[in-house]
Amino acid sequence: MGKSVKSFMMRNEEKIEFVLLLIVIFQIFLLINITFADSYLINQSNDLINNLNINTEQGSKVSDLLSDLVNSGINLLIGFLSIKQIGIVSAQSDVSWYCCPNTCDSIPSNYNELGMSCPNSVEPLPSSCDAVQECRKGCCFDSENGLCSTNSPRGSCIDSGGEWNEDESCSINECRKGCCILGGNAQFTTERSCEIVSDSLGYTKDFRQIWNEIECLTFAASQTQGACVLNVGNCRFITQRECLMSNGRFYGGYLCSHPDLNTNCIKQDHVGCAEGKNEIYWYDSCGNRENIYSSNKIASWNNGIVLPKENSCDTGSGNVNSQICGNCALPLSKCSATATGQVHIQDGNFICKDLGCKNAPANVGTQDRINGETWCLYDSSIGNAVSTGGSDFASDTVGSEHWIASCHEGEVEIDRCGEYRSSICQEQIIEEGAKSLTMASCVPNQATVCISYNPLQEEGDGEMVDNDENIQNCQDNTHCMIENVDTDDYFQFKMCVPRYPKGASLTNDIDDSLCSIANQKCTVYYRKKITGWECEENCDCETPEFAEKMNNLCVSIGDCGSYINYVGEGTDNVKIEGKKGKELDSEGEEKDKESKEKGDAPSIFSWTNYIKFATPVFGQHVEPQSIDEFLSLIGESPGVYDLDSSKIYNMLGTVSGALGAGWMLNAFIIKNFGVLINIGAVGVGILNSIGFAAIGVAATAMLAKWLGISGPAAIVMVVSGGVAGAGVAMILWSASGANFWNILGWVLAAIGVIIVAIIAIFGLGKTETRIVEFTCQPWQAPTFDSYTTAQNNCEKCNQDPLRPCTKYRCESLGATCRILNENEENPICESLQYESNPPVISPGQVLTQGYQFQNQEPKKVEITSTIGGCIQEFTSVFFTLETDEPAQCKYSFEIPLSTYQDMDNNYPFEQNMFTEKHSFEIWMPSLESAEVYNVSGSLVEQLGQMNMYVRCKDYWENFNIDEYIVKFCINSEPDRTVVNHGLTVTNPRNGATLRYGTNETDLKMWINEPAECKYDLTAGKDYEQMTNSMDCKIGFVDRELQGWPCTTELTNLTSGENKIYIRCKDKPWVETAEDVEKYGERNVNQQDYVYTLYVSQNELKIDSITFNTIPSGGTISSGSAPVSVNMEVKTSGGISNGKATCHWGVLQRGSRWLFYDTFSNVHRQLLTDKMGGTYNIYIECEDDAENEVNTEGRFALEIDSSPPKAVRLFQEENSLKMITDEEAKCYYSPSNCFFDFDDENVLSMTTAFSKEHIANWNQGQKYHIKCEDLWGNINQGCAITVSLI
Amino acid sequence: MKEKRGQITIFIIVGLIIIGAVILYIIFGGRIASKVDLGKEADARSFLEACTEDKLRETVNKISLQGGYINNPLNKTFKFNNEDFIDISYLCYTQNYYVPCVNQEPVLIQHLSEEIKNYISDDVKNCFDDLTLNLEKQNYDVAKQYGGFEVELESKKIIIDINGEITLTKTGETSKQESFNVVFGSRFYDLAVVVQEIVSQEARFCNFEYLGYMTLYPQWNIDKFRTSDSTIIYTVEHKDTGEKFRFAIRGCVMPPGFG
Repeated sequence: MGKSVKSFMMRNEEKIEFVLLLIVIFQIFLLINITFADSYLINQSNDLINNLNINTEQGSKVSDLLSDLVNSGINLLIGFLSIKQIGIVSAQSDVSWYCCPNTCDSIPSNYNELGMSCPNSVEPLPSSCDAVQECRKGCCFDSENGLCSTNSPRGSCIDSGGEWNEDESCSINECRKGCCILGGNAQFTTERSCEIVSDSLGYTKDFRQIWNEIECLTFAASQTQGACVLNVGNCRFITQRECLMSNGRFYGGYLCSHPDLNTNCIKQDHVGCAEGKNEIYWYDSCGNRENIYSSNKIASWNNGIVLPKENSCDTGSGNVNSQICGNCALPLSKCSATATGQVHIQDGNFICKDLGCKNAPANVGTQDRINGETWCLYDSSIGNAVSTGGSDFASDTVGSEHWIASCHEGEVEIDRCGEYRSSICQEQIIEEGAKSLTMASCVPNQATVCISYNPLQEEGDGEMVDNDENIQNCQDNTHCMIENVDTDDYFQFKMCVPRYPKGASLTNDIDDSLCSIANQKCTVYYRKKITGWECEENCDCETPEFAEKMNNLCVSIGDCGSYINYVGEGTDNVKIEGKKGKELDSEGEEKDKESKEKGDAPSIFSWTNYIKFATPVFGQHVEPQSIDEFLSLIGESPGVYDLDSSKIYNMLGTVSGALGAGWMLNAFIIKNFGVLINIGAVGVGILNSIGFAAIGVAATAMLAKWLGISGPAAIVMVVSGGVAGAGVAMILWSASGANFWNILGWVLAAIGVIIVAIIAIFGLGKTETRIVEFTCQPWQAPTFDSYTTAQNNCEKCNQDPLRPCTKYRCESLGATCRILNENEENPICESLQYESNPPVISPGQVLTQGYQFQNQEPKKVEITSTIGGCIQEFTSVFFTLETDEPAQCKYSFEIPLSTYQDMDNNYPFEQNMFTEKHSFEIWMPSLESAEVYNVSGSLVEQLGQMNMYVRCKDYWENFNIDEYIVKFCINSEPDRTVVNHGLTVTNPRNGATLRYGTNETDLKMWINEPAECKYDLTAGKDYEQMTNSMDCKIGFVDRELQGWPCTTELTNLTSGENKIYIRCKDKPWVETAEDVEKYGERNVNQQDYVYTLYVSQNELKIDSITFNTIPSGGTISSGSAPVSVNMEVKTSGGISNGKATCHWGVLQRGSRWLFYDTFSNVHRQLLTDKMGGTYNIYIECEDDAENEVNTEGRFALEIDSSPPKAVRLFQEENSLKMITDEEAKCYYSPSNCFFDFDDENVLSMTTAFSKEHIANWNQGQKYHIKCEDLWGNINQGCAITVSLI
Repeated sequence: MKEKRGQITIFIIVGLIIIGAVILYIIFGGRIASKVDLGKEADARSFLEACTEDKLRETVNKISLQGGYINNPLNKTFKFNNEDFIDISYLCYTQNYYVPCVNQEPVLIQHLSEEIKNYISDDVKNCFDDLTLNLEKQNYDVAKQYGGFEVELESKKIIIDINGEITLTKTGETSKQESFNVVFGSRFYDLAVVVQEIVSQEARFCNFEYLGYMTLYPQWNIDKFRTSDSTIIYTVEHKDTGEKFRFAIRGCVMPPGFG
């Protein structure tokens, strides 16, 4: 270890602030590991998409619709995520992979649909690249040049003459880098490369086993140099080794001009810079470097003796622009030649150039920066802020991005952290008195991880209780924050949301944001009093406070809601609607009747309230994360923040360039701040959790669902299948094993539960509920009615030369703004050309089998069954309309007002987005049910012939004045069909296996029409004879996403198969003979719906854990670090002979990452970059029946990086015998210590690795002995030198 | 008047010389060797060096700015300010989201040698032929055998190792020369080493900390440009010589929003 580095270490035995660096490193880990986990989550989302088919008998058609909806969205995403490292995901999912053989890049099997292809029109192979031998990824070692390439395909490596190894990270001996001394300089490279380069440059190979780049470079700089007198009068100022090789006589610490050496070199002949040095030096007449320049020549010459830097002249501040002292000092200054007219030292045209950056751009104003300093620049306010009403929200504006600026040798460079804030800029500021230093780095935005910390509350004992673990996780993650919505006593919840929300694509046809997660319904409770109806509870949901808090939640999800872009222009993208609730009975239970009045919806909280957040705020920055997880990953104890063990330091130092700027600043920082902050900002992977990738599309599709039956406002109310339903549905799907959906499902369901609780609380008098519903929509860029205005807005993107315009920034400025010449260094944002034509609407497709478009006219179309009839009751019909240009559409069942703006905010599936395809669903109840539930209006008449009026507007706000009409009718025949169990959905799903030991479970079943249901353990019983009733919701507004819910608790489940038999009886409103006469008999299932559950017969077990084939608890030895360790876990039992999904982590309570290879009974993970130490690995496995098993594995890693030591030397008979402290091979040379073992005059003392080494005893001989241990550690110089005198 | 005639004659002669030069240039313009004028003594190495240098430097420059390829379909067409559009090869690439790029040229130096060799092979052979022509003009009897050549990249130099044999006979004396090594000073190899390091780190960590690298190795200037489609274009420049290598990578790309 170099002297200066040692001194750094010695001076920093206390805790050292280098948190930022470690966090940055940790991002690398996140990058590699989160990918797998996220891919898994996305894979699960595929199940969701498939499950969406369940809502219809004609699943395939609906599937097509959904496929269309998510085309280029979800499928692509699923495709992307399951590749390569996660072949296991592919194995489980339906997504299959093809491989481009020329690039070894996997592409989804439906690559044509996705517009993907292999470069150069090569036909892809029908297999994942992992399964193609030539495309397996690993390390490629170029033995000709000694260079290593990570993540390299086997085929191209071998074909090019490389040696391929399956360790993708290249933690193999051949790639181990050490210190290659090249004269007075050094390169951190492999031994083979050292050999090649040395040979090429005319040096003898001098490869030092210094495994740390910084130490290597420090070592090179600290080599003792001196005068090497070659022959009479000739002298060179070089190292001892170089001199020895040149057969010169070495005078360490002497200058060639020293008078005692009698050389021809005359002192202080001229001045200049020196290669690999920063100072200005004197040179003698032979061209040899002398001491650091000082105008005081006598002091500088120092009587011909080398004068150390620290004893050389110093005028302070790095001697910037000093004319008398050339002791330049990084990071402040560096030797530089001067041009005519510039200030220079007295004796030559050189100066210590100021490397700092004056008046560098700052977040607010400008600031002087030090060379090597990095800092963040933001386009607007970032992170949590407080809106006018006092509630928190995440304030990153739409179109804003995070930038990292750096000062490098006087130049300021600004780089974008990543697209759409996928990567954010974090910084750490060290301040002491007036001194301040900032170091920044771009890190993956963990926005999606924040969402995964939900729910923060769960139902327990009839009330919501905090989930402490999730809350803690959310609080611990500096990228997350808790959004509290506490509008009223019974409308309170909290959600973990991103502190720095990710941006969304603003022009994609398919929204992939999660805005709808913030959709909420507040149930307001009213009581009839003498004075009339009075609000009793949740009254604040009808006030502006509700609108503000809900909008803040919506904005915090990411580019949603009423908010602004980065220049302070905005749009409103929320809906708040008052809807009718239900009448309550004296027990507080809901009646089947709707309430008298709708909730009184407050006005939306406008985007104009946020304009001030477009301005960056002084002092705002992203805080670094905790580093405990990173410490554990490299075998260090959490909480240990010092470099005493060098473990962290060494780990970072093995990555070339990793520490760069931070290292350079160390001296400066220590000098000025007394701390070491090694924040050279090692690479930052941009990957982040993408778990929500699929949700956006799916949620948008699901939550935008509406049901259309006529009857003025009442029909719209019926449409509200609702948010709570979606939440429940998600839980349903999650039951099939997707943890992620479980999380999201609970987020939504938790809120639903709150609402239910409210209803249960009140049970007195004449009461009713009313609903205030909040809908959070994707943010839309502003539209303008003139080209000039639009163009002026777009051009704002082109006005900052330091921050080039990007697609995201451009498109946030206006709906017509488009980025041009993207393939140039300075893209330009311009507006689309103005046009005044409204969108032309035409029929798309009817996607539900059995239905069609009929009687098509220019502005009208009819939907009928294929035989020309009306739509069957309780049937969903999906269809699309198309526009000839991107447009936003609304619909109404009444003849709408004359303008688009005045229409109610009823949107198709695509919500408020501008698209060319617009998706709708019509769901029809039976006529009699509508009548029974007293949906107001002349329903029979209306349902007999309904019109849906559609209007669309384009980017220029042109809209069709004449509405486009979609006509349809409902079957007016009496309902004679039984509940269709072909459409029944259950949770747990029919045929599911429950975990070992389960003896009871809740069953929830959704059926296609309101009905009462029973079940029995015996098959074939009539409905009336069945003994167990299910609790079925039969109200008109009780319909959830999947249908009408029935619940029950199944008890006495036994290991193995459990069957129940279910039958239902529809038309629950038929109670009396009069009803029968009016509506006909109730329809009862004559066949059982057989519902089967299995209970696991075995526990899931972990049989073994090994690390590099060594059982857990063992020790792994290696000669160098970092080391890659193969972890293998075997499972057995459970529902499928051990087949399970396993995760691992390094903290008992910390992150868990999916194994690289899992979904079987053997689970493998390569643990990379391990330094010496003890490692605890926490393993959690779960099978499809939710059988879980957790355990802990442990291994110790011993690194032997020291060469053998001679511990004893003695004569034994006629031999010289040497004992070493470890097994080694030893050799000796009679001439010097600088020899290779295969040199001609080198003799071996050993035949094999041994601690004993023997050589012939030759009196008078000198033995230069050098040894190599099992790990290839060789003595630098000699292990020992012996003269037998 | 007589003086004027003399001047006119001179002008005509100069004009003819210029026209002749232009015609010669048109005929032999593509052949670098035509510019070479051998000295009295045949110095094969100097001749070959002079003959091949321009083409070699042009080739190296072209390859360097196109990501190590003369022609590669896997490229990013991009235009930097004050430059023309150029096809910059991806040395590390994936078209997928979320995953690190795949190293496309894991043995980069070998590839670069071959790329140079392929592009200059005709020119080197022409130079070899021109060498013998020149020697014949100097009244040598020349017997030649051309066996191709290799391009070797080493630190600070590029070597063209021509596998050929020339036997010269003049006034009864015969001499034979074989194996012609032509060495050019260049940082191409050293650039390639840095490039390979960058690609390797990008493929492993999704990032290369170029600021730190420039600090540790101040002889390099590294520029990292992120295009709108998440391609990163690196330009590595050796500060002293101004030699550049530019290449593209695409990996670890995250799509907008939660998708």
